Amino acid sequence: MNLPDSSGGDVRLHPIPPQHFAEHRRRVIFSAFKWDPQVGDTCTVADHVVILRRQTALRLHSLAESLAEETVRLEGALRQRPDLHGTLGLPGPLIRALRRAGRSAGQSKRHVRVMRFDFHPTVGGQWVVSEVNSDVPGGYAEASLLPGLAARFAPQAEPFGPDVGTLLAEQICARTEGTGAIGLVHATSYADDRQVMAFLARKLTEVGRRTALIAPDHVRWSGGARCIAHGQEGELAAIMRFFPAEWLHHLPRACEWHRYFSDGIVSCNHASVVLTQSKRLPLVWDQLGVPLTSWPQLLPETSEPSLARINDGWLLKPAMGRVGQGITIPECTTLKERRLAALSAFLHRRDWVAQRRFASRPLQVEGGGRHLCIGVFTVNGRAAGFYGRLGIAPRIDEKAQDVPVLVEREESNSLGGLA
Amino acid sequence: MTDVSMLFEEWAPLESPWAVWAKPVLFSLLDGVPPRPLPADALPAVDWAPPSESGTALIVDLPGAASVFEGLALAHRGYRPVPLFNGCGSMGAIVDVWPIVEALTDGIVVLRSQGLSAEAPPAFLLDSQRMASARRAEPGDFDNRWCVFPQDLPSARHLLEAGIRTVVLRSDACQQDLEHVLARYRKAGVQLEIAVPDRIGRTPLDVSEPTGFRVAWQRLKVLAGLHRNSTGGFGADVPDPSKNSVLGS
Repeated sequence: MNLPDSSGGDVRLHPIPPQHFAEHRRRVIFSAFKWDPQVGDTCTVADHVVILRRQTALRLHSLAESLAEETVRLEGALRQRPDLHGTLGLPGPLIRALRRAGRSAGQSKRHVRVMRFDFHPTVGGQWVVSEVNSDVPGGYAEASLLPGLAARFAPQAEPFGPDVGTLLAEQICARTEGTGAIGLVHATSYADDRQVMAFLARKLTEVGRRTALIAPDHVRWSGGARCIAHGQEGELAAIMRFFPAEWLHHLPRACEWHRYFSDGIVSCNHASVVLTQSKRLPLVWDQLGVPLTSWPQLLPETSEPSLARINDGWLLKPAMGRVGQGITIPECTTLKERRLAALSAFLHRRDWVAQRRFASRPLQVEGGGRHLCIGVFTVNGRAAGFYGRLGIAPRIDEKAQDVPVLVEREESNSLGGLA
Repeated sequence: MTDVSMLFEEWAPLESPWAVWAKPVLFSLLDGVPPRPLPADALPAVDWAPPSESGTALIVDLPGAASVFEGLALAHRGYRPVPLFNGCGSMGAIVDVWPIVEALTDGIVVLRSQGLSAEAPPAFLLDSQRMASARRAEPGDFDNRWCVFPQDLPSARHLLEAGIRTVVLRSDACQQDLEHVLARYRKAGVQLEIAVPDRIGRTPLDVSEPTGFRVAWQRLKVLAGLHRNSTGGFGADVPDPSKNSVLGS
């Protein structure tokens, strides 16, 4: 496979003029649903724009579509292999819910499937994929709206491809009938989750659908799905979930959370996709009989956690981790944290996975380097937009900055000399 | 820019170094309603506050709109009120945020009249009812309870570098989520005081380190979202009639 080159010519950072940054940040907050623009002393809105070569952008989209196709096939195979679900590190109640729902649940084409693949440029000159956010990927608003807001700062570049918000809304609309609302299920106490749902509510309203912004226990399942949230009561036509599947089993049993694993309603994503959310997925894919090309080539070597490997060019990742949490990159964690993670991995092997560390290539800006992660969404197999994040350290976590990703215009031959 | 962002800018002006911590969530609920003049007695006396030139930052943790009014009164004393309200609004919400939204809207007239300098020290505003509303939760309610995390405020290092040596909490007591913040401040050498309503003056605040403080697993738990309760809120579970029968059957 011909991997895109990341040796320096295919991606660069372009500064937002300092005199415009404060206003840009304000626009990002209110026009792009960025309600968490500050984490501690860190501004999470980048003062740069990422500019990709068009060829690289096309290649990243192509790779993401290939990865999505392989991931869907892995999911299908895993549904038929409940004996492997424990190896993935899934909680027991989820394993039982998957078994109860049956091997075909989640397989239906009427569900909408969205994923995000995280690409990183490396010192070796190639791009690697650190993981797929298969269950509830974030960054819809940032990927959809930031490029448009920042385009004026880089006139030789432009937003690229369909935006994920529009594509999601169109796909959900195309798969639902009737007048029922689209239930936007999320953790209602969290502004950073709410902002995601508020954005999707706007996109769905634009395509003519009614929405209900609700918690997971606001759904009742008798005769289809019904919303009981005050002021939003009524039938649901579909559920768009931004509440991680592995948290569902903490819900009261009386709300029948296991029904999220059934095929009773059009879902995005269906809860059974938690099978490929586990970072331990590579440990079982050889047992599934699914031919893979892109995954083995793009993902760093992955292994069972082993104490011998922790300080030897390997790192530990929580099996169900999100937003970079718990990843034992030395520059981002204390020795004590790494030892605790190692101890936990020793005691609870299935909660962790070991992955060979790759050398992220920092992009040079005034004052130092920045590590880049570009998330590429796919919606029902089609790539959509880019979600850029920048970090001072190689781990992209909650303190990373959201950065717009633009692609050089077709008539541009060089990335140099941008205004 | 929209009216919403203009209103936000009144509370979080670009020239204030503390404005970046202001939370935009409640401002997103505003709908172009013009501000109304505040009653003459709306703003309380704030004799408890030290002079704004004394290297002091304030954290006002009072119920609902009272926190906003206290912040506006502190603006008279030269403090920059910084709203940190981070709860969402919706029909059936457990925590009523609308009085806060109205106070933020109406308060801009007061703020404009103050002409606060860019150097004004911060008075961070919180709703003390964020985790325990007086109202009993029912099924179908919108659980918008929220809590404060250390990353919602400046670090102790940042405060010290800005010349802030003392933090005064204006509240009946220090809530558990704030203890995590203030314990870090104290450990870094920031002096802590509390000014309790209906009592004169300020007293030293002794914040005990909460269980799990400085423990790596606590950090992992917070980042992992494991602190959330089963329905995505922070407080107690919302009762469900099918498991908690009100008829006692």
